[in-house]
Amino acid sequence: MKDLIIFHTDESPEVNFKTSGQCLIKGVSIPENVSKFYSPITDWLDNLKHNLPNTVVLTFEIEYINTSTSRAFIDIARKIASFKDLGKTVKIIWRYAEDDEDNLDLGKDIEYSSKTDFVFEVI
Amino acid sequence: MIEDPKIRALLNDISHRDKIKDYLLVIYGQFNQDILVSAIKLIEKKLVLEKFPANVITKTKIICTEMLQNITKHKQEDTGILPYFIVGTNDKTLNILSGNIITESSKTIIESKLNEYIKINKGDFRSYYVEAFKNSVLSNKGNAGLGLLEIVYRSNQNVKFKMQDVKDGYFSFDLDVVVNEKATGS
Repeated sequence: MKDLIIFHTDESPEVNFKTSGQCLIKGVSIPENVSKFYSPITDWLDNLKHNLPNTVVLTFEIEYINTSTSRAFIDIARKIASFKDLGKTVKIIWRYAEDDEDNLDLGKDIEYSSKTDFVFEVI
Repeated sequence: MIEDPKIRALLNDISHRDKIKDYLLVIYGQFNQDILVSAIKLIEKKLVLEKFPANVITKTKIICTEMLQNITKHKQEDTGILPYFIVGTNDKTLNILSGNIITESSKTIIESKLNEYIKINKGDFRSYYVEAFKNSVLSNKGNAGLGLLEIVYRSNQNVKFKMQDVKDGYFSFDLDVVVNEKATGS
């Protein structure tokens, strides 16, 4: 299994998911076809389950997103949180600028909707 | 030259609204994903120059994205009436206006969703919003009003809309959203 690396564009984020368990989604996410963009990521996480490292850390560092992306983030957060049931350590971090309360709210809304626990960090 | 008299009248009406002092962006014509991406970048640059706080800029970008994606996904080009999208300011208040042609069936759904969202008690809105997302499914054909819900939620319910009969079975859907520094969306 290889790392999953997708470079950012004007409408989609940088994705850097390493088999070591360090995962990052960073930037803007407003693709026209959200399923097409995020399905390789959820497929990759399904494959990771067969070679799970002891710790998986997912970091979101997001500028802004559309509603379909929020939905995709809920699915990704749930999938990563489910690794806990396999005895692994899981951490989901939401990074935001200190003066951007709306970005913090966005993270909290996704945390609540996905029924997972996020750690919030100021950039 | 705008040939459609109804759209001409509508744009004339918008340009005379006292509540908008400065226009940051006006788009009338064809909309697609490339225009959406450029429009959001331009809005961000202008809001930074106008010294709007980071949280207002984030909120505005999210609302504008949803309004523009609604137009891109649901436009009815065969009517010959083109959509518009306008962002204007009045001191620290932002007005975001959009208009596009929709079918009668879309009108029924949109009206029902917006009326439902606007009436939700402010204190209950956040739990309503997160529950709606929790129970939704990712789809590219629309998210059963989640885009509209996002707009109403992020603007703290500062949303007005109008439906006007323009042609047999087609309606002009005009959306007027206000964003100010007090609108927290939560």
